[in-house]
Amino acid sequence: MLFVREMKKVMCSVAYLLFVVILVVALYSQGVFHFGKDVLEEPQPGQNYGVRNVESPEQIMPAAYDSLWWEFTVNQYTTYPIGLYKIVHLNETEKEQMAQILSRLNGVDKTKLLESPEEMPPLREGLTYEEFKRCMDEADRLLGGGSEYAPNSLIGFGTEDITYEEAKVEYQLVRDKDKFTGGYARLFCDYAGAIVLSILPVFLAIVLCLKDRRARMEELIYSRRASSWKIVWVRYAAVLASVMLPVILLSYYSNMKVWGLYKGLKLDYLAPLKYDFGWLLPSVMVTAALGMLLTELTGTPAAAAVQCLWWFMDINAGYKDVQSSYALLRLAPRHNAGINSRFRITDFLGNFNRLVQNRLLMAGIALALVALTVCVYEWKRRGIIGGRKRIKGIFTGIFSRKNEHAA
Amino acid sequence: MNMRHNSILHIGLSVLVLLLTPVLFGMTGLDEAASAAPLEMLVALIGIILLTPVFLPEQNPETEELVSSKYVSSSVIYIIRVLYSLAVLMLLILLFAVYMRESGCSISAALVCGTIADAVFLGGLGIVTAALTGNTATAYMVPVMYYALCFGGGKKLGAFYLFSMTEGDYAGKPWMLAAGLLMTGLALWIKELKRRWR
Amino acid sequence: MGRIGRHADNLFDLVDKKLKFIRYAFYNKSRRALYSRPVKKERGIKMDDSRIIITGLSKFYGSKQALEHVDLVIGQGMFGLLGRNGAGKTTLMKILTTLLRKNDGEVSICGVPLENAKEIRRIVGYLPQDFSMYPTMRVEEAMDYLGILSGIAPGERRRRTEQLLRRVNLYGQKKEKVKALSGGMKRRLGIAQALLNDPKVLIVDEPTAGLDPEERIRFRNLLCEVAEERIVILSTHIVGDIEATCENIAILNEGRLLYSGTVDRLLGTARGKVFTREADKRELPRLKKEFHITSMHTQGNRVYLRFLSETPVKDARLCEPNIEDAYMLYLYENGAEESDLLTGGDL
Repeated sequence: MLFVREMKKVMCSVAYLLFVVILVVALYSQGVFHFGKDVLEEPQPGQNYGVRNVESPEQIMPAAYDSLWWEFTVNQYTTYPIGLYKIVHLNETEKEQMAQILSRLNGVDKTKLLESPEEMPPLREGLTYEEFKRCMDEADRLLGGGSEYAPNSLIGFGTEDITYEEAKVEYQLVRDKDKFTGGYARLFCDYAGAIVLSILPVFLAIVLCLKDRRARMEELIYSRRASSWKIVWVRYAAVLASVMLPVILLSYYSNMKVWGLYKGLKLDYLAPLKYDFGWLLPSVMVTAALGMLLTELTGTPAAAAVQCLWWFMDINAGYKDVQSSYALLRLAPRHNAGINSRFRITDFLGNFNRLVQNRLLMAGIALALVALTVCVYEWKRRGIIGGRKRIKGIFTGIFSRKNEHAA
Repeated sequence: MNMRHNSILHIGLSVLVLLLTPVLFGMTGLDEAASAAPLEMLVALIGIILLTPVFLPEQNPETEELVSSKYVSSSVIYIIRVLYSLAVLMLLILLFAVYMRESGCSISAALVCGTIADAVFLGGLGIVTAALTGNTATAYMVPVMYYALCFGGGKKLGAFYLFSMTEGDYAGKPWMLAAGLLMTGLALWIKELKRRWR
Repeated sequence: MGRIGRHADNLFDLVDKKLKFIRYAFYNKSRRALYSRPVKKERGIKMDDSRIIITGLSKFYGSKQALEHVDLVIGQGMFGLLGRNGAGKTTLMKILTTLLRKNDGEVSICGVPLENAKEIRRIVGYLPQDFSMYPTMRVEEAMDYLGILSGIAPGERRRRTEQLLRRVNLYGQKKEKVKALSGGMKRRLGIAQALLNDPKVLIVDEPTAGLDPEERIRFRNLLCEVAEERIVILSTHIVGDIEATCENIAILNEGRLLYSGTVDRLLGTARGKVFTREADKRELPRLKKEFHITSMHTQGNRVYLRFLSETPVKDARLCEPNIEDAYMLYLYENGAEESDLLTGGDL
């Protein structure tokens, strides 16, 4: 009963209306409602099935060496330490170290290399792939990490064509494991999770938690019999339910558009639901939980800033390689990595365990944050902590002290 | 007119964002397109932080009534606050640009103006939502989501694409600045209308 | 039609009161069984099932002491808590409603120690000084919401909401949004919500502030009615409220309890010490220095004074003290500065 009331409070707010509108617009802009154009057809012999990355030393060694050499000559290296584009310039000692690494690759003396010859010396005869990888790892560390030469990223220099047999296996996997609809549901999750659901639920949590104070109703509620445990958990559940309701509807709307494309084949009609709960819900949970905790703690919308920062780091943490797409600490796992086939089922299955771990971890963190919110709520209710006044007081105290010093 | 007390937190937060920028992005010897990335992706965000909460001090209905009954029209107070926020915004962006220039990045006047335009546009989205809904927490949603949309490949947004300078396209920026200022003006007007209808 | 409706209400009320009485008796019995541990003897005060017993209560805000060793026993009926702003009334009330933590001392409400917050919340109803409700909720919805939080079953909730809204004369507004209510209506809704859980103790903080005289009287009557069957603690700085309603009162000043007892006894302490006289306006500055003036009004050039004095005064008439005089006398005798009395006193 309380749940229905709290849900009504969430759903009747302007913030919720905005949430739904933004959700629809954002998903629409990502083409999520037009999957109907993307039909996966059974591969026929003699077609082009695209390429995929492969760890082939013959390809990787010359290509990566070439890239490093070119960056060395202009002393401008491109890295993505936390996913964001970062240009690195090396100083003289570092340059020397880089020359040392290069000289191990091509056998030319480092002093000569530092004179920056016109011609690129060829790779040294008999250089093993193991030795090469070690050098690249050192180069990456010298650059502060996140370069293309990092052990995980080197594979990007090697590609090979996908064969008919492989394409066929992939298709069969999609047919048997995904039952087609699963792949589309995954794509829906990728967009919905990354763009909307790992950020907007925080606002709904903030608005709900600030509502009591705004309405000056806090004390009326605090002095009631209902336990803090009940109030906080029910409110949390109400936020989750309100968020998931349109998400489920839209995921079905998106998914249903492809049902007609696979007539006569066995489809998994529950796929959107499975992915909504398995993939998206943990992101929503942790986002909303953070919102509730920080709002109860500070009495301000500070959670928005924190969540935006987290989201910003997460979305920049890359989706180009499979590893980081399914990283353990991912707020919103990505499914845009790898090449070919919209469904990337091999990537998905290959990383399934890590995805499960990540989702359980996020859900676990969320539950812990809510449990903490219960404590904070109870402390506020008993007058043990003063909420906004106190924390805001600390801030203004710091600032005014700073001002005094400045003056 | 106690503006500092309310805005000090927001200015502090903006400074924090600026301090964070060199940590997240490399800041040495960037060419113009590379310099645009930190400016458009992080620095412009201070527009949301500084402009959206302009109506926050009066969010409580009682305070609002009290303030609207005062001799100095609340519109005047709002206008002063908006101008003040815009000034702080420009100052911070300029300071940051100078810092980048000192670090050997190539910074043009167009780049700085473009960043200000981005910030004002985002802030304008926030302030107009704040005026409409009367709820600052809700108001943050719109600019934040606009930003997120641009991340998700918002080139369909045309002139209003936030990260265009990274690709060397400055054409949309005057439009964004105009739209941002227009929305800010609209927000003030809505606030005044709401006051009269009360 | 209207008459019939009203009769029906009264009948309903009567039946309800009877039912409540039976329930109350039963409830008390079961409560007694629940809290039948050995009755503690503390500073000579016997634990009682229908009283609030406060012993040695202290509360600090940081280094500032808001309550200082307050000992107080509050029994059935209306109880007035007097004091200036900042005297500690709200702090005391918030401690009684578990919204603030005490630093020292013992408090038990109807035999339940304050530490048992859940049980306390069950038997206490609270109307804060400054409150409102979700502006877009309808009156009955707001009542229902708070009823849910009080853990009242759906049927009972509906019944009580209707009954209470009738009682506070808001039944006609039950479909209206909270934001559309006037200040007085909001206060009445406040009382209704505080009574939802049929509390044994009702705590109301400055309920008449900001009400017009008519509303204030209606509100007082409502409180008196309510106090027939429970403890009602009323804090106020409006003397009329106390005079009209309370038999027992306590006076708080700067966190200390100055007086606790009946209104009559308080008046007794001031008997023979209150005088009135008429004077010329020009004499006023001199008189102000000389006496502790409790009230005055002017008429043309003449001014009528009411003041305190330990000894009879020439040209002045002895008069019957009112609570205001007695209260002022108490503050004065307990070290409050006269300037405080005249400027800072809220009475």
